[in-house]
Parts: sequence; structure tokens; C-alpha cells
Amino acid sequence: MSAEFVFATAQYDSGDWDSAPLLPANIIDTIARYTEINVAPTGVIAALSDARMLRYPFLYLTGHLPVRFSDAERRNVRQFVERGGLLFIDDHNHDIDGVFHKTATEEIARTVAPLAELPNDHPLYSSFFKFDGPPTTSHELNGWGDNLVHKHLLAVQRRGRIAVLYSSKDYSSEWNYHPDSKRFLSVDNTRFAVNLVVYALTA
Amino acid sequence: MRSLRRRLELGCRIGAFALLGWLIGTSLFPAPARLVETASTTNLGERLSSWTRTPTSVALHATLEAAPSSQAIAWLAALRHAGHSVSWSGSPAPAVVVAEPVVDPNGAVRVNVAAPANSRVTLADVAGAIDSARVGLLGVSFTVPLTVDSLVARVNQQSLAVAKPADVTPRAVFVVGDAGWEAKFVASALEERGWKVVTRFAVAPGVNVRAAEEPPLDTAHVAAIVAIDSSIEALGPVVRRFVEQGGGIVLAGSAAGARVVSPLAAGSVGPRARRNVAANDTIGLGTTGYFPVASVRDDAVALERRASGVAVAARRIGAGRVLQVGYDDSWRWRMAGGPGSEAAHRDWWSRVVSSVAYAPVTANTQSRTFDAPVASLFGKLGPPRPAPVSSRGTVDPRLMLALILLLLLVEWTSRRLRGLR
Amino acid sequence: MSPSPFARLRLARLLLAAGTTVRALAWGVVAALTLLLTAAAVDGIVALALETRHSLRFVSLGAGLATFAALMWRDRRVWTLRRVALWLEERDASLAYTLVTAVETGDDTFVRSAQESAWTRSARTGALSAPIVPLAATVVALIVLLLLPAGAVARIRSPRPGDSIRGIASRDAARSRLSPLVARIEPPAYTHNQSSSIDDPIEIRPIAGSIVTFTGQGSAPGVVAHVNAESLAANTRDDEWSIRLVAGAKPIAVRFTDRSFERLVVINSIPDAPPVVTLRSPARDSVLRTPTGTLALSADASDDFGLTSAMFEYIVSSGEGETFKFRSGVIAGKPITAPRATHASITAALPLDGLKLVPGDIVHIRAVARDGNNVSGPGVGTSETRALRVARTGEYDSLAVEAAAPTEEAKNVVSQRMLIMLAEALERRRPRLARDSVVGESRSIAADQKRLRRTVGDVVFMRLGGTQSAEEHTDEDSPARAKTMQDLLARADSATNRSTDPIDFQGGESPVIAVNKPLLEAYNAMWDAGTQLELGEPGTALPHMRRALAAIEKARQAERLYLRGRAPQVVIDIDKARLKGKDKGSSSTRPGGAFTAGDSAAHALESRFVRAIELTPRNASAAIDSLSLLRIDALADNPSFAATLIPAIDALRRGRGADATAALARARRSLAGPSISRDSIARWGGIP
Repeated sequence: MSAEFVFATAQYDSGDWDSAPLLPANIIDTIARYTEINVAPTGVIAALSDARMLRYPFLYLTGHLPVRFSDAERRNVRQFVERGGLLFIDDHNHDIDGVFHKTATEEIARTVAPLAELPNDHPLYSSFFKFDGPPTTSHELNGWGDNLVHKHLLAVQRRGRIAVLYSSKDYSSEWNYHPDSKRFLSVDNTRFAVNLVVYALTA
Repeated sequence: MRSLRRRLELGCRIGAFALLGWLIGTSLFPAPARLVETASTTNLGERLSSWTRTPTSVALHATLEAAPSSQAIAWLAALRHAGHSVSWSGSPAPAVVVAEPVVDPNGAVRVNVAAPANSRVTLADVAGAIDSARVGLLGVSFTVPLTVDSLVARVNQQSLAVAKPADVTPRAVFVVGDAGWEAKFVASALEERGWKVVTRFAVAPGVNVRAAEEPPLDTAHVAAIVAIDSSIEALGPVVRRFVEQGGGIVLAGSAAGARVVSPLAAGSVGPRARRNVAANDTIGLGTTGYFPVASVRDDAVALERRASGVAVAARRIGAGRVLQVGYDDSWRWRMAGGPGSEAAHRDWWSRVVSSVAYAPVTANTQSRTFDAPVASLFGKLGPPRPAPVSSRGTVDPRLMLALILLLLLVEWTSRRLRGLR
Repeated sequence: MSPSPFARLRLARLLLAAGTTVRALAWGVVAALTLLLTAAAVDGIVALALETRHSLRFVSLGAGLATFAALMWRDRRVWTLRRVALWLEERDASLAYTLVTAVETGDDTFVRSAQESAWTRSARTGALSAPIVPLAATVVALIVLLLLPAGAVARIRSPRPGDSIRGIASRDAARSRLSPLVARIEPPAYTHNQSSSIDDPIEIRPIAGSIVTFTGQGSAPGVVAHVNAESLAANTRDDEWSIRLVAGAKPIAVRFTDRSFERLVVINSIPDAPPVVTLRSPARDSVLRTPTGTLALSADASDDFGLTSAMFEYIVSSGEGETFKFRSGVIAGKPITAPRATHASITAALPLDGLKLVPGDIVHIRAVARDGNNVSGPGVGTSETRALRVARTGEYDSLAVEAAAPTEEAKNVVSQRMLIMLAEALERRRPRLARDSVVGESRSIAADQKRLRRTVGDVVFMRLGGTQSAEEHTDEDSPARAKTMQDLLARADSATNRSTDPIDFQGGESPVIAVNKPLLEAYNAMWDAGTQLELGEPGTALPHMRRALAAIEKARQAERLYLRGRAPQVVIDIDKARLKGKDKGSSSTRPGGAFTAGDSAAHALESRFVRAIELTPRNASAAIDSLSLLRIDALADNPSFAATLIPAIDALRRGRGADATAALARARRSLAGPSISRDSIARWGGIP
């Protein structure tokens, strides 16, 4: 049996990194429900300024507030990407005119490389469940944020693999609920997270 | 007095005639002359061309403290074949160099040099010096990533030359395991290193992430299998057939415990040795524990030992090789290791796979890729012998002539002094 | 009275000295001119290097001075009267050594006055005739100088970079027009750097965006520069050809061709780095108790060519939970007016009162500087960001504790609890109070309950339909509002499932409603409580109020589990959840092939390196060109290897074989990594 997959939430200094505290548990539950992947029952918090964040090759980063990396955070993120990690960033404001989007994309461009649209036929969308592109969330058109349905995710690729995946679709709100509430759903809206994790573990 | 003088004159006369007679005799019936030409290690090369023009009556002897080059040995053998008496003496240190291609996408060369203990060995090629090492036990080994043209190993004063072996293009590596970080990063490392990687990662029952085209599991298509965990069970008995045909298999972590491969493994799988990693530890290979190889089989060889047991062991099965590697989370080394850990992880896994990967043997990979000058010396010229002694058949005739003339002069002078003519 | 003999003698001496001085000077000039003319002649055949021509000027001058000094030294005795007297005696026998005697004795009576007039004539003649030959030689040299082409003389007289093509032009049409070659570099205007010229360049390092003009002797037709896949033809001007191109950001190799001649020049641009900015004040993140006063800001900025502006940027984030508002602004520092200001310190003050900060707001501050790069920029440099947070009331404002703000639900809990306490206290005092007082106080509590209900309603109804609760915007007692409230209630009722059956959603309905069921329950309970309180029945309202409190508590458990910033640990029972999902995934294909791109590039470099080395013994010039091109291609992906090629190429150009071999060995190690040596023969491949 392989080592555990540990869901790690990235902690950064400048903003509300912990704005979706139930998301890790929800995703862990989802992984267990659909796969046999050996997953740790709880998530961890990995400070980007600490080099130990490299021990978690999958990191989830979200927030509402501006994202400004310190020198230590930038250094670690750069090394994380170069060594093969996958950083998943989700704009909890889902607002491409908002400060999170502007600052986060600027920081990624400065630290790694500019983000580019990910084609909707990328293997990410068929790594476990089949999607025609990034699934729409119930928050995209709720009047908040930019009130747009974003047709693409953005990504930075390294050696043909996604190193940074960026979403303006507010999966953080979509998935931020206790896993017990899944029983109310006719279609599990966290299935795309399985694709994410399977892609991260196999690509 | 007068009679004494007369006797002296008579003696000179007789002596002169005797010497004359001896001269005439030796010129009609000459005794054989015996000349020897010698050379040493330092000037043998220069002497060979002059020796070629030397008459075959001259014996040739080389005093060698170091084995000469293959060309020099062949030349001496040719001289012997042409009728010369060729011998040698000395105690050149024996040394052998063998170059073989490493089964590696980047085409490295491994050069093994057998030489006496404590000898200094330097390796170079057309592009210059490559490396040097001192012999610890039986020899030294160099793995050179990039070579240009032929290689020359210098051992003490000897030069051993080999041709660069032709590169071997390895076939695909099949990585099989449960979806997880170790499987992912092993596949990534091998791909980044240039290997063609085919994967099968188990995600859920009946659900795998696999290569677009999974090749047949034989040595025509696959060079080695890397089993990350016991999910190799799914491949079935074809694994054994593959190894017996010459394929290689790396059993990582607890994979050696799978039923389908446990008879092939170098040993059984011991309980995982887990080291407590402190928050500030730098993670290296094995820092976070491993599955030791327990009960190493008699025909297996332990390659790496650690405090908790054997970490790596190898075994040959038929024409193939099996490497049991106890590490199951080398990915931590890659991700959270010190500077350069990513490259080190990549190189390490490439070496692991290279050591078992199947490579077809062709004539090109064997020609002129070894050199053993001392053995060649013995083979072509026989064992060492003492140097022959040089001798001459006759005394120098000029000396004889001078003596004859002196005797006649003494005799004539004595007679003249007596008033005679 | 006629001058004394000694006076005439001194005059003669002066004349002779003048003559010898002029002669020495003239010979000095001739020597210097001869050297210069010889150098110009040699330069016309074999182009002399700039340094050689520089030194030749000084050598010529030195030779002239040395010649002058040597001749002056040789003729130094002309300054002694005795020698002059002897000289005169040689030319006038009638003196019969009387002049010399007079000089030696100091008695001029020895000399007859009739002879004196002849001395001056002799001295004048001697002085005039002395410099005739050297002056004639000078004239000849000057004539030769005038006959030489102006360029040839100028190259020797005033050598400067870029004049290699100004020499004597060869009339040999078969000669290569690629040598001599001059590269003129005009940096971008914003750098304020001077233009420069390089003679016979092998590699030039201009600033990215510079205009590089290559010039050579001869006409243009047939001279072409190849850059990657592009070909540029030369232009002709004044018997010189020229090709102009712009130095891009990436290094390139320019291959010039002229019939069968080729020449390679590497352009390795220096990129303009963006400014480096360091924020000095504020020095660290902090929490402000009260957002008043002025915050001092200071930063340092530096740039390689010149800064044009520097300022501070701030972003104010207000809000909490899911609701935030942002404001941003810029505070300019002192303007940077100096044209080449490579360093600047900026200071400013940020008045906190002007930002109208409230507890919970966060201000992010950073310094930004721009350079004058108008070619590919401007380059923008930013400092680290400082975050200043305004403490919330009652919050533990310690830097060591990242306390999160109380959530909406948490605040509602506090408020609802307070209302319950007020209602309970009123109910206890009810027997002692008049009815009017009870109703008045009860309605006061009802008003608070209503406010709280609106807050809950805002949260609930934003998630439902994206519209805010209509309550806020209409008059409280209007029928329209009531209708709206009834509608809202109806929606809430229909959405709120009071049974225990799970809601079965059709496609399109937001699943969020299920999460907010408790909040909807709270909303309804508050509505009921408010109705009772309006009627002056606090006792009847209390059960509804308590039900609302319980519902809010449940909502906090379901959504945000913050209790003073600490997220609770939710532990998933993996075994229980394992493979319980309704859906099944499907096998997928792992992408491959593209992952080896990086290593393929390295392998290609290795192959080219090996081929270049193999070429070295046969054709050193081709090997040098191959290594130069290899270096260009390696600059982006493997700059350390590219750097190791420089000494190797240089050594090969200078013909230093041993140095080249050592340098190539280092380059090989850099490219392919060092060899691994072991002091024993490996038992098993390369393991360990």
C-alpha cells in the first residue's frame, strides 16, 4: 500500500487562507468514496513560508483578500513547482476584477510563469470522471463576484504537467460544507476534486 | 747473448706466422657471433623501427617495468615471427580495462579497470582528462556520462586503450503500482531522465490510469518493470517469464511480498524500519524508513546495508535480474530533500533501472572494448626470460694484424741491429 | 664702439647653437614621421590592432624626442666657447690658434679685430646649413604623408574603435568583404548610454533593444546576414556596406556570408532588469488597536539604468466571512527627476484617518518602482507586502495570535442570546409593570429582533437567489413590503423542509439551500418571535426565540466552525466512506511523451558538443563556430554550461591546445555531469 495522500491547505501571510475550513474534510471524504487511494483522514495546514511545505506535493490555496508572497513563500513555491508539486488555487471571490484574482495571478506570474488557459479536452477532465470542461458551480452566477461562468481554468505547465492550476469558479464555496451534507445532494458536486487528486497522483 | 737474441728473433717469426695462420683459418671457418640489442619501457617505441632493420642474428630483448601498448606487443610478436630472437624481462603490473555501455537513454559508458591495489588509475579520452581513482581492492570503476571517441586508462606507467562502445537504446520501462506519490514520482523521474515510461496505476477497482498503448510484456518491447507495491500481482505469471527471458524487475517497497514475484525476490520483506523524522531534518533517501530485505537468499547479493538491515539486494534469475529496493517513499527525498535532491532522485532511479534493464548484446558492443596488455604480452611472447648475453666469435682481426706486424718489426729490427739485412 | 671679441664669439656660439637645435628638432620630426609613415604603410597591408596603433603614436613621439635628445647631447659642446673657438679656427687658418688661446687665457688681446667679422659670417653660414638636410627630409616625409589615403593616416594619427574599415581599401575584388568588420552599438535612449564601436567583433553584449549596425569595406550586393531563419541584405554607402538589426532579448548568432566567405558574430544581449525595491517602513506586519494617526512609509529602489517613478500602493479590505469590499490607492513619493537615477529613496505618509478604517479592516501596503525601459517594459519592481490589521473590539490583538473575526452566525448567537435575556427579564418584571410599559419594552425588543432577522435574512436570501432581502429597501408597514415578506416567507417555507426527509433536488436548484436550512429555520422562528413581541407577549415569544438560537447554533456547526480563528478538526472515517460513492469512475490514459522534452534538449546539446570536439583536430575554425552556436543555444536552458564554453572557444581561437583541452573537459563535466568513480569494481551495475 502506498504512502498516504495528505490534503494540505496552503497558509500564506497576506490573506484569509483559511476561508474554506470544511473543504479539506469534504474532499478527503470524496476521495475515499470513489477511489482506493490511501488518503489521510484529516488535512494539514502547510505554511508556504516554511520549507516543510515541500512534503505535501498537492497544495490547495484560496482566500478573498490580496495574495502577496513574501520572499520565503515565493522561494518555496518556486521550488515546489520545479520539483513536481501541484498548486491548486481557487478564487473564493470568483471575481476576475477582484483583488484576489489580480494579486494571485500577478504573484504566480512573478514566481513561476504567467497563467494560460487550460484546454477543456485536457486529460485532467477525464482522469477519473468525464467532464467537458471545468464544472460550473452554483456560486458563479449568484450575483456576487464577477457573475460570470468561467469556461476555462488557467494553468502553468511544467514538462507537460500542470504545476499550478487556477480557478475563478469558486470551488471553495462549492465544496466548503460538511461531508455529512452530501446526503442531500442528488449529484455529488465534489467529483471534480477526484479528477484533480487523481491527476496529481498519476501525471 | 747472441743465441738468446736469435731465439727471440725466431720466436717473433714463428709467432707472426702462427697468428697469420690463425687469421687465415678463422676467415675461412668463422665462429658464429652473438649480438643482443636491448630496450626498456621508455625507449621501446623508438627502438622498434630500428630493430625491424636489424639482422635476425641479433637477439632482441626488452626490459619492461610496465606493459607496452598493444601495438608494441604486436610488433614484437611480428619480429619474432620474422625470425628474430625476441625476449622480455621485468615485472609489469597486470591491468585490464573493459568498457561497456550503460543501459541509459543518455548513453553513458562504464569503464572497469582491474589493477593492483593502491595503483593510481586515470581515465581520459580525446576531449581530455575524465577522472582518476586509487584502487582499493581489485580495481576501479568509472561511469562516464559523456565520452568522445576512444578511452585511455593509465595505470602506473601503462596506457590501456579501448574503443568507445556503441550506445544501447533501452526499451520501455513499465511502472506499475497504486496511484500515489511514489508511483507518480518514480515515473516522472524516469521520464525526465529520458526513459520511455509505460504506467499502470490502480485508482479504484477496475479503474486504472495507464499508458495509451500498453506493450506486450517481453524483452522486445520492455526493458524493465518497476513494481511500486504489491499491485504487481495483477500482471500474473508473465512476470516470471519476462525475467527469465532477460528482462529486469525492480521490486520497491513491499512489492517483493506479492505472490507472483516473491519467488524471484532477493529475500523476503521485513517489517518496515521507520525512522522518526524531526521537523527540521533534511530528508534523504531512506530517511523516512524502508522495508528491509530479510532472509537474503544464498544466490542474492546485498548491495546496500543500513542500520536496520539490507536496503537493496539483487539476484539473477535466468537471463534476467531482480533488484529488491526497500525504499517506498523516495518521493519525499525528491520533494523535501536538500538542494539538488530532484536531480539526485532522478539519477538514482535511472541507475536502479539501468542495473536491471535488458539490453540486447551485439557485436558492436563487444569489439575492442577491452584491453589487457600484460596478458597479451604473455600470450604473444611467452613468460619473461633473462636477457641473453652478447658474445663475439673472433678476436678483432685488426688487432691480430697489428700484432703480426709488431712481431715482424721486432724481428727485423733485431737483425738489422746485428748488422744483418 | 665695436663689440669685444668675446662678445662676437658668444654671438657666434648662439648662432651655432640655434642651428644645431633646429637640426636636432628637424631630425626628431623626421624620425617620428618616418615611424608613423612606416606604421601607416604596414597598417595598410596588415591591419594593426587598435592598441598597437595607440601605442605607435607614443612610440613615434618617443622616437622623435629620443632623436632630438640624442643629437642635442651629441652637439652639446656647441655651448662651450672653447669649442666654438676651435670650430672657427678650423675654418679660418689665419687665426693661428689665437682665438683658442684668448678663450683659454681670458685675454682677448691675442685676437686681431680684423678677423672678428669673419666669425659671425662663418657662424651664420654654419647655423643655416646645419638643418638643411633634416628639413629636406621633413618635407619629403610630409609629401609622402599627403600622398597616403586620409583614412590610413587617420588610423595611425588618431586611432579609435570602429576605424578598422577606414584603412586602405583593398582593390582585390576576390578578397572577403567580411574583414575588417565593425559593429556600432546604439543603446536605447532611455539608458542614456553612449554609442560605441567594436572592431572585428566575435561576440558583442549590447543592452536588449540596442540597434547594432555592422559595417565593412566594399559594396553591399552579395553580403547577407543570416539570423535564425531570416536573411538581411546589406546596404551600400560610400564604398562601405552595412547591415542593421535590433538586439532582442534572446542571444542570437549572426552568420555573415559573402560569396564563399563566412563569419560568425554572437549577439548576447544584456536584459534590462526590473527595479529592486525594499520596503523599509513599515518593517513588519502588525495589528492596530485604533486606526488613527499617520503611518510613515519609506522604501529604497534601485535599477541598472535609471528609475522613472516610485510610489506606494495600498489595498484596504473590509468585511468578513464571505463578504468583502476592497479599496485601493496610490501614494506617490517624491518624483524622480534625475535622468539616470539608479537609486532612490522614497518616503510618504499614509493618514489612517483618511482611509476610514473600521475594526476588522486589513490594509496591504507595498512599494512599487518603474524604470524607463520603453523597449520591452517599463520594468516594474515591487517590494514585499506588509499587512496592517485593525483589531476588532474585544479581540486579543497580539501579533502572535491570528484571531479570526467572529462570524456572522457568531455575532447572531450573541445578539439572540442577549435578546432572550432581555425578554426573560421583561417577563419576570411583567407582574410589576404597567401594560403600556410592557408593550413598549416588548416592542423595543421586537425591533432588535427584527434587525437581527434582517441580518439572517440577508445571508440566507443571498445564497438562495442572489438578491438581497427586500426588507431593507421598502417601508416596513407597506402592503407591498408585507407582500414581499410574505412571498419571502413562502419561498422560505417551501424551501425549508421541516420534515426529516432529505430534499430531493431537481437539476438547477441550488444545493446551498440544504446547508442553510438551519438559518431558514432561525429566520422563521425570529419572525414568529417578533410577531409575539410586537403584541407585547414576551413570554409567548421566548420559545420561538430559543428555537431561533438553537437553529443559529446548528448553522454555525454546519458552515464555519470558527471559534476565535481555530478551525475544528474534522476526521473522516475512511473505512466507512470507502467506495460508498454512487458513481464509478473510468480508466483513463496517462499522458506521456511530452515529459521527456527537457531531457531531449539536453541530449541534443550533448550530441552537438561531441561532434564539435571531434571536429577540433580536423578543422579548428569550424569547431569554434560550432561551439559558438552551441553556446548560444545553451544560454537559455543551460547557462552554466554555456559559460564553460567561453574559455574553451577563446583558447581554441588563440591556438592554445592544452588550455582548450582543459576547458573542454570542464565544459563536458558541466553538461553531462561528472563521472562517478569508485575504488572498487561494482558488483552490480552502478548500484549503489
